[in-house]
Amino acid sequence: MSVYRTAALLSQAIQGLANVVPALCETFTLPEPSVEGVVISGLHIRAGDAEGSRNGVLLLGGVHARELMNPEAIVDLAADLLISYAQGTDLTYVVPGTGAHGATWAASAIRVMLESLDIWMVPCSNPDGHDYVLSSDDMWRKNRRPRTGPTCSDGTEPVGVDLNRNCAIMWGVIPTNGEISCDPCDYQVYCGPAAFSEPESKNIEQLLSEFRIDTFADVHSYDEMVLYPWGHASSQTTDPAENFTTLPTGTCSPIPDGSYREYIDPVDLLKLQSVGAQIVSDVANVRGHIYSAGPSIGLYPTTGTNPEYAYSRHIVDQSAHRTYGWTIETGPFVGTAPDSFHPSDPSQTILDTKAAMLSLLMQSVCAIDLIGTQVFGSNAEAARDQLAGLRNRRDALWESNAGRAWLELYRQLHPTLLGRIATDEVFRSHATHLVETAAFLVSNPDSVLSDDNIRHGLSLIDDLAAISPEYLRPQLQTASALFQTMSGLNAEAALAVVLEQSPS
Amino acid sequence: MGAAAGLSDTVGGVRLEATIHPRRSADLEALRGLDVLPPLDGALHVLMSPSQVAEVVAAGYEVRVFAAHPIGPLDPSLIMDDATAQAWINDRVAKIRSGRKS
Repeated sequence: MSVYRTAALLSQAIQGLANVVPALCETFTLPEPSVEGVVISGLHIRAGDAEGSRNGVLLLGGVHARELMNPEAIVDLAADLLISYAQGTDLTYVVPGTGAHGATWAASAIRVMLESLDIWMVPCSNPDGHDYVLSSDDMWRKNRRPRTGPTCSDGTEPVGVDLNRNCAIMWGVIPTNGEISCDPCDYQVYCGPAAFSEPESKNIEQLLSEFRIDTFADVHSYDEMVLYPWGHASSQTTDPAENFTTLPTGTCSPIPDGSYREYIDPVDLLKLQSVGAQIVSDVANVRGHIYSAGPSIGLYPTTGTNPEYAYSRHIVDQSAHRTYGWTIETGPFVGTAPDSFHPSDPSQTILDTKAAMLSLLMQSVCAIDLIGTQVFGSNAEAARDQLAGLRNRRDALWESNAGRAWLELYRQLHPTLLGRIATDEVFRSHATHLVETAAFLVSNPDSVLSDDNIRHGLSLIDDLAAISPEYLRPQLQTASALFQTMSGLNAEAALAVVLEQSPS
Repeated sequence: MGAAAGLSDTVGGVRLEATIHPRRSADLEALRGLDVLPPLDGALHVLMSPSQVAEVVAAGYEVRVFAAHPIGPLDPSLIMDDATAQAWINDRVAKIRSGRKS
């Protein structure tokens, strides 16, 4: 079964897609060619209006050369998205006979994704290593940097750098039992002579700097895991001062304090846990494989990885955009390592992988942003200001248990909400009115919710309750009852009410 | 030097897939340079050369080899040829075009 394309054929595949729908997608060239001079290309998918800032998602594959399934999965997903959008058909990933009912995204949801996100895909970020696997060594992992150091003790030349150890996040620090090495002769996990010494990893840095990327996923194999920061130490949420910016890098030794734990913003941690749980659930619907979600140190300790670098950028530089960084480890162990990295029939694992990426895309869509774009039209600056006020109030919800319960309810309603916005004009009109009102109230502290505002809101909640999963309806009834008490309240008073009373 | 020579000494040879189990030693240095895979049944799971097996055993570990893989390129039958790749593109392009016409 011929299933794995060369790097050149992967590039041809995305070019072929871009050629047929130039209004929906275009290829782009990464700033740096590979060590061996190969031009690296990606695909940018964006439907709908050309103007305006959107949430951005970057999907990266092929960082580790031998993990051949993932470049194929990313190219395949691009085609699926474009076909679904063009034909107006649902996307369902299911393996018959497994008892799983399938992971389905409605055509309306796909439309919302493509019309409200900037989707950046780099299927094969390490083309030299990729082709070396096909031509010479099927277990090669690194790039093909020639002669990275003096001749090795066995007389061979050291070749290659691990591109998922080369980024400027705790670069060159070797955690106890860590899978990273400062030894150029290390066959698999040499971190390189300096952070971002390699053009292939420098490309990731430049993409993150140039584009607004809210969600970044680096797709690897094999294992069935959904991983988020941190990888170099256990996490803690109580002491922001205990963070990686205070630690030396390039030491080729462990963090000096063995009890060190890395700070992670508790709001971010909740979001990562919540999104991770949804990815696990969506993947399980394909064929019943239950991925595990957790901090990446759970696989093994690492430093210098792409997703953690992506997430760390806003901590190092507060003006940098906050990017949630993910590693998706796809595919089970199937008896031997070669068969697990590049099975003769990867089709079922590719379905899992596509479901994981689609889940992440769906959860990267911000329904409020989507409605706000309609409210404020092409006036991007007004939209940004108004929506920033709403986001501040949303962030305040994380401060209480009740507030977090409301956010969790919103997260669970999100797919239904997006689908309704895309397909029902009356619903969209009510939602638009509500967001407009909320933005006005936030900007005008003396203004209050009118009876008319309440009626619009209740209509929206009733509509959602009618089409939402049964188990969410009691919470929506609570929302409805609470909203009826808010007439005459300004934004701060309304927020205080929801911070006090949980929907569940 | 532990196992730091890596698998480069086996080019043209064989790569062994194994799990490693502590016996009398916890000499972690001896495990450096192995190609570590996700754990297998809770055990350290690696690819290693025959000389690395000898070094790790000498350092006090038990090595259970369960597969041997010749070092070489990917099975050519798994590599997509140009015609199949073009057929893939043609199929997807046709589906996209059919949707845009309807």
